[in-house]
Order: sequence, then structure tokens, then C-alpha cells
Amino acid sequence: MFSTHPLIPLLIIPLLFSLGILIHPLKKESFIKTLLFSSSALTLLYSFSLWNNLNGSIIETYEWLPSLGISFSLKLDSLSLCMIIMTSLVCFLSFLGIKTHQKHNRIFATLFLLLQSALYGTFLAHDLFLFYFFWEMALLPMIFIVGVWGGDDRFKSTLKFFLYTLFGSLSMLMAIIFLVVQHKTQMGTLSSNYLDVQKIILASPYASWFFWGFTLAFLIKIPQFPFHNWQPDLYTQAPPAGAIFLSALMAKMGTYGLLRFSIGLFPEQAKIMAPILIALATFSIIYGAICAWSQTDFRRLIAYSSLSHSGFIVLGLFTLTPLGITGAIYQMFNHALLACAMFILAHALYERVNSYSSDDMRGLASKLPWLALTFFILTLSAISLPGTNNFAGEFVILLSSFSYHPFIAILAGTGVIFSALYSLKFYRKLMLGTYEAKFATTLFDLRPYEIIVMSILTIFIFGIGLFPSFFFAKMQVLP
Amino acid sequence: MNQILLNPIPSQMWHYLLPLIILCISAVINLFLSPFVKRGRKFIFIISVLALISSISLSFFNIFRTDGNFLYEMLSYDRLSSFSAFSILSLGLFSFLNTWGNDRKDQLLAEVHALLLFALSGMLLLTSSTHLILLFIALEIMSLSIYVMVAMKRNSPFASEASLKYFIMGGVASAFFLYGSALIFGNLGTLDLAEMGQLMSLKSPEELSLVLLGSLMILISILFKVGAFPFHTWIPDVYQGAISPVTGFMAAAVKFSSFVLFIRLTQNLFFAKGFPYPDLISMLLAIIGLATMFYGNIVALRQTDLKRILSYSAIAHTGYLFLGLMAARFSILGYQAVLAYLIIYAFSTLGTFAIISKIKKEGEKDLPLYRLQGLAKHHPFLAGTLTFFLFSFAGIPLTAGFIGKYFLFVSAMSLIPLWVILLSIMAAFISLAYYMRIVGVIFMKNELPNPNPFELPSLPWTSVAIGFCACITLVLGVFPEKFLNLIKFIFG
Repeated sequence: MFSTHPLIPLLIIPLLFSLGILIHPLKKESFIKTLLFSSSALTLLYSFSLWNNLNGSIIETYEWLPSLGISFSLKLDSLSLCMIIMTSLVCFLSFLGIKTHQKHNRIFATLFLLLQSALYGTFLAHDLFLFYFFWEMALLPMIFIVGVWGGDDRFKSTLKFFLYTLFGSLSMLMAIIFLVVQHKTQMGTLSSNYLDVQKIILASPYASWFFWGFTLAFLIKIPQFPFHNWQPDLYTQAPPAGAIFLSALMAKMGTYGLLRFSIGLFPEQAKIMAPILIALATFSIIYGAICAWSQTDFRRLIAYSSLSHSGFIVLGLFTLTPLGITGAIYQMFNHALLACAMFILAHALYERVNSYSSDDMRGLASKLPWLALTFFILTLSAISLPGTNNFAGEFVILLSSFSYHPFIAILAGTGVIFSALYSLKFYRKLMLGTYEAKFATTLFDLRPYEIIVMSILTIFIFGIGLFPSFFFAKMQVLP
Repeated sequence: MNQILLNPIPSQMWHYLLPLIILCISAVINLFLSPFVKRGRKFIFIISVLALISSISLSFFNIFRTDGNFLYEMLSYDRLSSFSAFSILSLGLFSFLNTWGNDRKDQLLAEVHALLLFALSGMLLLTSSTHLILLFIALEIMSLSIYVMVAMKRNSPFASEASLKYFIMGGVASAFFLYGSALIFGNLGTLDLAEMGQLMSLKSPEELSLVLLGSLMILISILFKVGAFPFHTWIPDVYQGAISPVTGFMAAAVKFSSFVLFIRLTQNLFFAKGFPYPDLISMLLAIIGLATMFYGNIVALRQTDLKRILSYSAIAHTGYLFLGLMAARFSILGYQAVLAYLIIYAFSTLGTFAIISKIKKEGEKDLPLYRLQGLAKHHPFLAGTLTFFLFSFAGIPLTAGFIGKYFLFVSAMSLIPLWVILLSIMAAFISLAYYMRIVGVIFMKNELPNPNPFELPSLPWTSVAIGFCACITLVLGVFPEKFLNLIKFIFG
């Protein structure tokens, strides 16, 4: 199975483990945790073995719905591979780094595994219908993760998130249906296969409509200004592991979609519409950074800084130069790691001082030196200091945006400066000065599993920063 | 000619009539058994289930037989009618299982089971005729049984109110149907739908003004039966007033058979070759369809009662189906999409109302949304299936509803104006808000401090019906290929 159908196991391993979690008879919570962890470890190993063996690309196709021209078609190329490894790594780290909550039962764990499987499907799908299918499949578990296990205001923020994303999804579905029917009028059969759809010749007004149909869905999912309204609320309400999945992985579904579908299917329209998207991205970079400056809640800070960082990704993509797109792919990977690390750290802080707010704590560095050190490393990465992973990506993106227009590069560059401002300000408020905490605290420094997670992250941060070509050798992809 | 007169039903055609005959006989036996309150019940159950299962299997095999016309061509059995019989009877079986047990909870008379079978036989007749008078009779058999079923809960004034409303409005609609048929007969000299296209193409449009008037009247009565705007007003009250199993039966089976009638009328009258004004009908369908969608979805947003929300959502779903009917003017794909969507919708609806009849307490008039808070904690199976059905209505992947909507939009795209499709997608988007609201109340709101709101009666057969409907919705959502091929075969 592994040699003839190399991609299916990625989808099936999490599903099998989720089945195991659902039906196993043991009452112990630690067993659920073990299953969750072993599933993510297995998928991580499997994705590394794919990374090792990949030459060119792999396509797997199965019959699914021939009467509507839909096939279960998966394709692994270097872009998908990058996303797959990112997903496996983030899943592994978040399952390892977030201690399961008492009320989190087997359903909770199952939802995460379903979500993981759907994410693999999204990044592998080589059929538009299949892509949409997995795209929605990834949404549903998240709705329940936040809606059932989230904070007090979960109902409202979940509803907002659901309606925002479904609005985007429906516009994408319209575009997909139109393309499928267009394939029938031009070629005679219904087909939603990626390669078939690429061959369609589109008349000019339609093409730009359907470019926007796809792009809207992706911009909402990332999110970019002006569709970011759901993001801070949801990140605040989500349980910690849910927040990691949202910011590190589900946001990347959007950027991946932009590259694969908006740019891949409509290259002409992408060229025409690039100025609008670049303007939005640049605005998001600056706007996100300014908003992040005034936040006191750690999770809201991460939400706005994510808005700013993903602005760089979109900016890189829509310079439409090989350099910019490569930088954007670097950045997708880097930002996933950064967001994952930040949320793990925020949760770790919360466990110690029972608050996410910077108003409630001061001078933690004196009591928690190791935690302060890891926070400092992450802050350095967030402000893209040379030698860290974000520098590699953002520098490349700035370089390519300079060739697009120097003014854009200058504006985006101020975004980097802003990010240094707000990150360091937040670090200073939390860690430096004399110790003070508002709520009951149980101070203890990093626990063993947190040390493991943080050291893995540190290796990646400096590894990618110093030797980017080693990490991305297989990922030199262009659409 | 003499041969036909002497023997109107050729012997090899009996298998087409057998389901109908079995149903009628068992309904009559049920009527006789129903006075025996204690011992009769068991027999009623066995006889009805056996009759339904045998006629379901018979009509399934009828799908693959050759077409048959008999009784002076008043009855015509083709693949569509056999398939509709199959689906209607399956819906009937699940409705019967769902009513079983609930009839005691709501203190119904045992005649309700006989009435259900009578209504089913009316539906079978309705889907297998092309003769306007026979259609009218079938429509009346179906409707009269349902009026009584709605009023069956005798101690509830709301049920009587609902039934009276339904009866009066249904009577007016039937009058429209009859008057329309008379006008068409006056113009064309025939009541057989199959001949109309040919007869109309012999005449010039000026000579066919009565046909236009007649077909508009028939259209009105059909719009009433399927519950389209502005003839929808009976739906919320009747759905709320009737007991939930009956509501489920109406929402699923009555809507299904009325739409099959609609398909026949569009095939043979509205979009038939000689019909002089197909553009007018298209325009009407587009406007009424959009109005129905938007009205249903927007009004549903403000409702607080679960049954009312679902009744407005039923109105909205009627609107989506009009897209397929419009597309059917140009391509057979439209009919296929309508039929597929109908079946999927019918089974989800039946399942939803089965769940409601399980949750609803004895003597309770409404089922306000807040009653559902904490359902997920106490009855995860019910909460999960209800959510699944709601997602199916909303058209979210993995459920059959998504396949239905996808097929419908694929068939309609590029055949009907793009603005109609865009607006209906907008309407579908609006509907997501209230479906998600119900799901949110079930899963995301804290439980109310209410003593034992979830001590539900054990209704094992209702649970069986729910399970079957959920399985069908899941299987058609994930592996719909066989089902779609069957639908293709029916219109092939």
C-alpha cells in the first residue's frame, strides 16, 4: 500500500487513530493523549519519509463520482510537500506542547484528528470539488472545537467565523461550479480535475469574476484586511490547541489556495489584479502591526501580528516573481512555526499566572528564566532578526517587492519596524522589571515536555535562519 | 377497440397495480382492526409493515420493467412513476415507524395508521397518472387523508385550527386545479397530458389563450401544494399545529409527490413543445422561486420555535427546486437534479421531524429553541443526528444535501440567467445563519436549570426511522454515484 498508494496513508492514519480514540474501552485520559501523540508522531515520520523519497511529483487518482466529473485525485508536489510537513510538524508540536484539559474528552481529540486529515486532504487535492470538500471538512471540526470547548463568548465568535468563512466558501463554490460547467460547454464533459480546468479558455469578464470568487474565499480564511474581523475574537475564544490550528494551519489553507488556485488557474487575472491585492496586503501589514501595538491580551496580540505577518505572504505571492513566491512559501512555513510557538507559550504563561493580559503580570523573567529565554528567542524570530527563520523569508519578500515598486517595499519595511516595536514592548511589559502578578500563581519553570517542544522550535528557528537552502532544497516550487 | 374495452388491464400489467392494491386492502383491514384498542394494535403494525415492505420491493422491480399504459391510458406507468412509488413508499414506511408510539403519546386514534396508508395510495395514483381528472382524484385522496391526520389530535385546538386552515386553502387550490383542467379541456378537447403537446402544436398561439389561462390556474394550485410564495401561508401553521410525525410525513412525502406532479406538468404542459408561452412560465418560476427562497430564509431568521424555523426552511427549499425546473426546459439534467434533490431533502426532513417528535413532550404546543440547550450532553445521538440533518439542509459537504445542491446548481448553471443563480446562492447563504444558530443552541449554550427536561419517552421505532434516515443522508453524501446513475436511468 505504501509503495503503490503513497498519499492515502496520510489521510487514513489520523482517521484510524480517531476511530481508536472513539471506541477504545479504557477510561483513562492519558491513553487518549498517548494515541493522539502517537498518531501525530507517525504522520510526522511518514511526511519526512515522503520528503526523503519525493522526486518530481506523485499523482494518485481514484474513481469517486464520474457522473459529475469528480475524481478522488491527489497530487503531491513540492509545494504540497512543504504544507504537509508544516501540518505534521505543527500537529506534533501542539499535541505535545498543550497539556490536555480536564474537560477535553475523546470527542475533542477525535475532532483534532479529523481536522488534521482534512488539512492533508486540502493540501493534496488535485480536483476542485475535492478541494472544496476537504476545505469544508476542515471547517466543521473547528466550529465544534471552538464552539463547545471555547471561552465564555464562544457562541457569538463561532457564528461570526462560520458565516464569514462560509460566505467565502460559497463564492468559491460558485466559481468551481461555473468552471465545471464551462468545461462541459468547451470540452463536452463535466470535469473538475485541476489539469482539465486549467485548459479552459475564459472570456474576460467571467475570468476576473471567478478569480475573485476563489480569492475572496482565501482572503477571508487567511484573513486579510478587510475580512479580518472574525480573527481576534475567535483566537481569544478558542481553546489553546484550537488557536494553534487556526493560526498556524488553517490560515495557510488560504495562502496555499491563493498560490495554487488564484494564481495557478488564473495567471492573467492575477497579473491584472495584483496591484489591488498588494495594496491590501501592505495595508494589512501596517494595520495589523499598529493594532498589535495597543493590545494587552496575548492572544489578541498574536491575532493582529498574524494579520501583519500573513500580509507579507500575500505580498510575496502577488509580486508574481519566482523570488517573491519562494519567499512567500518560506514565510508560510515560518509563520506556522511562529504562531504555534507563540500560542504554546501563551498557554504556558496562562498555566502559571492565570491570565493572558499584560496588565496582570510584570517581571516574570526573574522567576521563570528559561521561559523568559524561549520567549525572547521567539520574539527575535517574530521581529525577523537576521539569523532567524523569519528574516530569511521576509527579506526575500521585501527584495522582490522592491523590484515591484520601491514604495511598497518601504511601506512593508515599516511593518517590520513596527513588529519590532510591539513585540519588544510586550516582552518588556511581561518579563522585565520587578516581579508582580495579580492572580493566584503557581510559578514553575519549563516542564520537560515544554523544553522538548521549545528546543525543537529553536532548532528550526535558527536552522532555517542560518541554512535556509537545506530546509527548502526540495521546495523550490513555482506554479 | 372492443378487446381493450373488455379487458382494460392486460394481465401482464398487474404487477404495476399490485402495490396500490396491497396498500388499499391493508388500509381497509387497519380500519376494521382499529376499534380493538389492545389486540388490534399488534396486527395493525404487522400488517402495515408487511404491506409497505412488499409494495416497496414490488415497485423497486417495476423501475426496470417496460412502460405500461392501461385503463384507457388514464394510468401510465413509466420509470418515473415506479421510482416515485418506491421512494414515497419508503418515506411512508419510515413515517409509519415514526408515528408508531407517538400516536399513544399524543392520544391519537388508531385510525391514523389507516389514513397514512390511504394517503400513500393517493400519492401512488398521483405519480402514475397523466390524466387531469384522475390526477385531481388522486390529489383529493391524498389531501383528504392528510387533513384528517392533521386534525387527529382531538384535544388540541391548534391542531383543529391548522387542519381547518389547511382544508379551506386546500379546497380553494383544488378548485383552481379543476377549473384549470376544464378550461384546457374546453380548448383542446382532451384531458390527457400526454396528448397535449401534440394538440397544441397544431394550433396557433392566438387560439390557445384558454390553455394559457387554464395552465396558469393549474400552476397556482401546484404552487399551493408545494408551498411556494405567495401561496405558502398555510405551511407554518399547519406544520406547527400537526403532531410532529404527521408533519414529517407531510413535509417529506406530500412535497415529494406534489413535485413529481409538477415535473409531469412541466414535461407535458408548461414546457411541452407546442406550449405557446414557455418564456412566461420560466419568468414566473424564476420570480416565484427567488421570492420563495428569500422569504423563507429571511423569515426563518427571526423565528424562535424549532418547528416554525423548519417550516420556513421547507418553504425556502421549494424555491431552490424551481431552479432545476427552469433548467429542465433546456436539458434533461434539470429534472434529474430536481428528483435527486427531492429525495435527499425528503429523507433529511423525515429524520428531522422524527427527532423533534422524540424531543417534544406530551401536550406541548411549541418547541422553543432554548429547550434544546443541553441536548448534546444528555442525548448525544439525537444531537448529532439533528446537526447532521441540519447540515444536510444547509448543503455542507459529507451530507447528501451538499450533493443535491451541487447537482442542482451544476444543472442550472449556464442554462438559466446567472443573476438567478447568484441570488439563490445568496439566499442559501442567509439560511446558514439560522441552521448554525440551532446547532449552536444544541452544542454551544449552557444547559438551563430546568428539572429533567430531557427525560424522553423511549420510542424504539422512531429511533430506527431516525437511524435509517441518517444512514441514507450519509451514504448519499459520500458515495452518491449509484444513486445518481439510477436517477439518470429514470429520465434516460
